[in-house]
Amino acid sequence: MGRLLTLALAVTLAATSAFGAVFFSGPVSATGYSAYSTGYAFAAYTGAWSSSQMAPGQFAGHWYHAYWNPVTACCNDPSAWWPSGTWITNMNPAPWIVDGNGYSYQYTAFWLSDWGDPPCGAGNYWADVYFGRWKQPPQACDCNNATEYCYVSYDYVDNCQDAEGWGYTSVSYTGP
Amino acid sequence: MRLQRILRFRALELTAAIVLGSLIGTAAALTAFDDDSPPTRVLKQVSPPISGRAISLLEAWDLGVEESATWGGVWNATAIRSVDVGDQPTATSGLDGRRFSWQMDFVDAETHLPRWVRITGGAVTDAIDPAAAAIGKGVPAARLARPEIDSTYAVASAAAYRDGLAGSLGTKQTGVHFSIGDSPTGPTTIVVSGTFGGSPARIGVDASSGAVDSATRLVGTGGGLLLSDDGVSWRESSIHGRVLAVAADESVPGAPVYAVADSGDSVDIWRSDDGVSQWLRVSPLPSGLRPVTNALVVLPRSGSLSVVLLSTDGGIFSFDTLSREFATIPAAGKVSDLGSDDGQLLATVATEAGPTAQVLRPDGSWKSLPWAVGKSLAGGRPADAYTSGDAKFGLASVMGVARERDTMLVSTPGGVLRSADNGETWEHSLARPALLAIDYDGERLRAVAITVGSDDVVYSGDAGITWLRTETLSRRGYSGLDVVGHRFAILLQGGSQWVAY
Repeated sequence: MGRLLTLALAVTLAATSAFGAVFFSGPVSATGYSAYSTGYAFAAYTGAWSSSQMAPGQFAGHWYHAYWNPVTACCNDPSAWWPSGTWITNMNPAPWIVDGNGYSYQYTAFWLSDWGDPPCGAGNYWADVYFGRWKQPPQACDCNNATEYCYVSYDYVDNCQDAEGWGYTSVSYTGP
Repeated sequence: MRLQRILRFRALELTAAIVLGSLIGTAAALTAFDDDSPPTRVLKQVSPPISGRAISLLEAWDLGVEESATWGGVWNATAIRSVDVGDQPTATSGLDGRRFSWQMDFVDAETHLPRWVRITGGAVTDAIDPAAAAIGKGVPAARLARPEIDSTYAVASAAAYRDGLAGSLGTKQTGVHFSIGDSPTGPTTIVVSGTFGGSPARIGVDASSGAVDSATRLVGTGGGLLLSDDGVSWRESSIHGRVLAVAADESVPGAPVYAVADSGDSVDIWRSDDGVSQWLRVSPLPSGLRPVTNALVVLPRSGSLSVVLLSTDGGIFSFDTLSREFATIPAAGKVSDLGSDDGQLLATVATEAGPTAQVLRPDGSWKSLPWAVGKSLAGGRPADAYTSGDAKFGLASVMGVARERDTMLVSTPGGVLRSADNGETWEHSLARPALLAIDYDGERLRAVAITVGSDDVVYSGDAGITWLRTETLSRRGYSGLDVVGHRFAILLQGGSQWVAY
């Protein structure tokens, strides 16, 4: 039932798109943003904008389709135009992410390597934080992605559960 | 690509955090909701050189290592990659092995904390601590050795492997890129990313020998429909993605045909106005509903088209293409299948008493039915009809139903059964279970079935008494069988995958 409620919330949010970004002054050559953040885990081996493996410290943002005519960005989200490798810093609150050795890191910065939310329902400056691909032996490699790659850890690590726990969180961060 | 967001209410969030925190024995998860996280520590932030230039991987490597030497302690390089940030790349960027922007990852050998360095235009411009704290006693990621070949050599080696390497354009990873680290081909390989034959391609070049040790490219497997007017000869109509549903207004000759397809990037509605030769992408569907396992096209009413979708989570959603309104359809439990009958939405719903068939009332409430509901169900019969005569099979064993006039075909694990008297008596029709479709063309009842296991397409011109094998789908994925505009339609799967070349 929890999953159904989860989707219901997603639907409501997608329907209203009521959460816009709030701009405020930031550091030199950077801007502060308020946005929503989600988490994901397992997923494809590499991000769409990287040939390296998805790992903690990376995030997915909105898309643009330069091969469509006209060129369109995801629901006019300005962050859809950020290039691969873009850093966002000072994320607050900052998620804790556990590696395969059970070692926990509080990541406050992420770089853009992947994309998601094709119909753009998650609002401007949405950031989907990657939590990793570690799970415990009995668990299925299933974290609601079409393509899943997992590693087994014996250190009580479950990155999928961590991503679920992160949920749909309002955050602030600094970006371009 | 990211496909599905994982969302939770804050209350559930906290619950999950507490459970997780108790499981892993750290304060990590509980701290995830601390709204006063420390800021990212910036170690360096300067402007790129005015006369910046593109540099090779080894030049960037040496600059990054030189920067790390100023930090004190022992810092192990764990990854290096070229990126588009700070650059204005074109499709030819990187074809000479040089890029304007690079990023390098390090890990402290003692504290295990990471640091990132960005090199822009030939100088280190940024360095940060991306993780503010760490708890535990893990081991740092493997230290990378300085590659023996440079990206200038790697790109030449990749280009020589197969003529046709080019840079990508129109993405956030423009031109040819390079990376070493956690890559699909291992930490001792320089991955050269670009395009080959118009498809994204990755060539792995051994960082020591310079030899190509892998080459893969992303190939679309296609999707669409196999269509047949007579049930015997089939032609293909392409739609990008896995086709989930197809429908047309049967009361209007030559009416447009609509389809719903999941491309992997989005779930889209397609329309064909020319007898299903060409398709026009009408609209993508909103988020919050993926992955979708089943879809139902509800035909135009007052110029509007609705699509009803079922997600893997058992939720049902509808999307109106005219108003672009998106709505949840609450159900009394997890929905496992959808169907329709005379414009009414039918669903199989999991309840505490077991699976039940329900119909959606106009007021939004559901009414239980004593019927089985299958994807191809075009009506229903009381469950006892399925258990009459010598053919004994219960509701739970019904895998699919096709019904037209008084003739019913029902698929069970033991094969397909046929009734010509609206379920009063039954006879065996096919030895294997099958997907079923039946159509009345004004003269006779015609049926098509895809047998599960052998994936043979068989046709019957006498309503299931005799069958003729017309096609095999053994090497193709399919997701359904339907009738649209008196045509039989096999729904083909599609998508993309990395294949060696």
